[in-house]
Amino acid sequence: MTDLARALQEPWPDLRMQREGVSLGMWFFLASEVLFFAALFCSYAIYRSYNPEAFRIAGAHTKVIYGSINTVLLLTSSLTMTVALRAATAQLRRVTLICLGITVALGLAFLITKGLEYHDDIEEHLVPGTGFPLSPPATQIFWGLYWIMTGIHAIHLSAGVVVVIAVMIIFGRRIIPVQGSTMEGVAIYWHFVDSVWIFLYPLIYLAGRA
Amino acid sequence: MSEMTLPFAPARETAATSYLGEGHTLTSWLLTTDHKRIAILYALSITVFFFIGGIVVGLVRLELISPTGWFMTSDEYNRAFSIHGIVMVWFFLVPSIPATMGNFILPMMIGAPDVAFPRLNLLSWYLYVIGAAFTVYVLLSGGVDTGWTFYPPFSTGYSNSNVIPAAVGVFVVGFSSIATGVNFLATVHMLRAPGMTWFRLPLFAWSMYTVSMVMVLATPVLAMSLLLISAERFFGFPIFDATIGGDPLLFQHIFWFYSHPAVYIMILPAMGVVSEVFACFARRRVFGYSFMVFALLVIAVVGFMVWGHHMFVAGQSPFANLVFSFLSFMVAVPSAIKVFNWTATLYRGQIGLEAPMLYALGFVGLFTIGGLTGLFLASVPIDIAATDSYFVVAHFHFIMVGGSVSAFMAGIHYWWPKVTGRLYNEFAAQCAAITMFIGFNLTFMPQFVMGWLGMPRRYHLYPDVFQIWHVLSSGGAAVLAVAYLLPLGYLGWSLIGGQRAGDNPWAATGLEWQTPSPPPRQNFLHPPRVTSEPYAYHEFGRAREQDGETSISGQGDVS
Amino acid sequence: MSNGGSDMRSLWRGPLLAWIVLMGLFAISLGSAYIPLGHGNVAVNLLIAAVMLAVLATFLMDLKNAKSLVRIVAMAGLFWIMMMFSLTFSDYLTRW
Repeated sequence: MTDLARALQEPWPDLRMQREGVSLGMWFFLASEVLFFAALFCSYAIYRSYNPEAFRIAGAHTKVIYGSINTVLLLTSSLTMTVALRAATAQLRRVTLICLGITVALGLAFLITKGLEYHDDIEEHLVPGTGFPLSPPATQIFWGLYWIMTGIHAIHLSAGVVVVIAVMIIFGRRIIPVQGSTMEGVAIYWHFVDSVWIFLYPLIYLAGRA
Repeated sequence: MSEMTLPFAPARETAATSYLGEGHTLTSWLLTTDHKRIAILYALSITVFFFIGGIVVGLVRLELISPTGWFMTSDEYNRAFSIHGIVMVWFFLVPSIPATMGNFILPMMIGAPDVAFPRLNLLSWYLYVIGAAFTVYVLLSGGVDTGWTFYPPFSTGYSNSNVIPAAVGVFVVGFSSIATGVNFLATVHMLRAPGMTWFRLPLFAWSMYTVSMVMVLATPVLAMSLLLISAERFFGFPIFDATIGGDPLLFQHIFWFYSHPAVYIMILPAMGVVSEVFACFARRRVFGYSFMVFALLVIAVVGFMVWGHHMFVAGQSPFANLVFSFLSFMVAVPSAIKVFNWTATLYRGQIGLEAPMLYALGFVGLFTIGGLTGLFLASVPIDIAATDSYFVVAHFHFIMVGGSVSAFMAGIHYWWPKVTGRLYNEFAAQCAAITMFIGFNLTFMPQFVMGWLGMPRRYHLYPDVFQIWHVLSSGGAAVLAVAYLLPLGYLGWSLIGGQRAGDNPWAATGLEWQTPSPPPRQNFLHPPRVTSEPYAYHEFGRAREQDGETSISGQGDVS
Repeated sequence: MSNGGSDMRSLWRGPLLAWIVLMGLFAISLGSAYIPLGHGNVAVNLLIAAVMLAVLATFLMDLKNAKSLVRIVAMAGLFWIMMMFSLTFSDYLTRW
């Protein structure tokens, strides 16, 4: 039980409450994050409702292949993250570490794909400003939002990757046992980043397909 | 969830070593995870920013004495009032009560050894410091001239000042309030002492709970609005550019989705403080406790639905104006309930006029005036006439300075003996409270008048007819400055020469008073257990009469 | 720390099922985007995204077994989004 005692932190009286507290705290934080993205989605919705044609034209220039690959990668990473959490709860340390490793790999693959996509976009000068190839002008709003939305999502995912790697090191060196409250928070955050992508994908990549 | 059987962490203290004696090195403060020490760190930093904001606005008031301007250019004037707004809103008012008194008192009030996430708590202070560093940089490198509201297209395309560093500062400090909010919510949910049911929570704890809700849900939206204008300014992504189909008004929607609730971030904690102080110094149970709780909750939720009243003349659709106007009137109802209940709490109470009570009484008067003039502005026809005038300036200063700052001072004085273990000079404190009330009214009453007569805000050149009002207002500001400096003196002195306060100098109810002053590291020597409702002053013995201090003949509480 | 095969199966079975459903929904969403439905496209896509979110939250984020408080917090986020969208659109849809 000394192993468990190390997982317990001030000011919590026991580990069960600590896990509950961390998970609750994380959900409060996610409520905050939800509104962070909501402001962005709201801007998108308003501009799209005012400029449907421009958004259709602009949306047709997004790279649906990259977007779809990334959707698959992220959804799969959510699967492995869930299994990692379940394994941690069942005190299966090795399985936890393996699943976290796969999750990180999938996250990194996402970021690499994203990088390739950004490269292609820049090649095509799809950055708002002078020399923007599309018209009408409102297409620039779509592409401005594209860079901001995907950029912020990528930053969130990068943060997730860094945190998961840190957690793997902590677990690997047995600084904190896997069944502590750490995994609760990490898993919920990771799924949140995934669920933002679930909405970004149709709004960005499927906007101008039909 | 409401587990009533929270097994309290064993208190390790045997003798009464206070949290202040736990280490005297700089690192013992800078790396502390003790909520009480973090509260002190916050208190020191916001005091610095309060005086920075105060000095800047002192310059503004000085400049406004002359209708033709005398030592500032228009550009400098713009930068002065902008930095005043930014500093006062985000670096003083928003963190003022929650991050200091909330941090210090809330865990003690609910009988917890610390907040739920002590390291996150420390991180929140560091985020504040980083944000503050950006703001100091802005200040030193020439300022920002957009006003505290950062409206595009001015902030995105036309301003030549440090918009992005200012926005980054506010962005970062926003995350410090989110961290505080998350922490408080989890603390109130998870760490209440045995017997501390939801409806036994003191109203200050409720106010911290509701304000945390607002912080967590509103602040990220501000962050996004600042991010969008920074992206437009820095990368040239034309999000709010009207020439290609963007809408500058959209920024205002997003910005006020935060910034209107931000007003409630400032006033809800003030309401909590005042409820505590009234109950204690009138020796009365708070009238209509459950109504007070629901009023806090309703204000927190409905406060999110009224932001459009800032945009009545900005080009918003008349139908939306109607909706927002109606909702703004709605939010006055719970506020009025609170004022009514405070008054009823005083009724037949054994009122003592100690300094915290003077500040709190000042709060109720000034908040009522601020709230009622808010109703003027919530009605579209009046707002069309009064928009962007000094009437608006006076209105929100009555809420933010008359309301929040008065309550902040009330709370500082009320909990000072608990925090420091010392008593301050009561007479000096009473003088400061009265000076502040007089100075405040002298500063802002003239602004109502000149605003109503047509003096627009944010101009430093104005027609001669307004000069008398501006001079009066500047004179009031000088009085106010004295009132703010006085506490530095007598509170500072109390640290050296003040009498020992004892555990409970006010004979107040509440868990925070049932532990030594200053409190030990783990807050309590014995695990607290709550057995009764809050504000049971009728059970406390009629403290005043027993001490023979004052004897008021009315029966304080007929039960 | 030994783990039998049945252990592993119970670890994976629920999440895997949810993942298959998510993949299916993703495929439908992608496919439907190429069928010209006018404004229907975005409606279908968003509807599918909402269902995907529900699946993810319920089974992978385990809201299914969460305390009611956590569910309330999750709902609160959505409620505030609704407030933001409806009141902002109350302006944009009624301008002239």
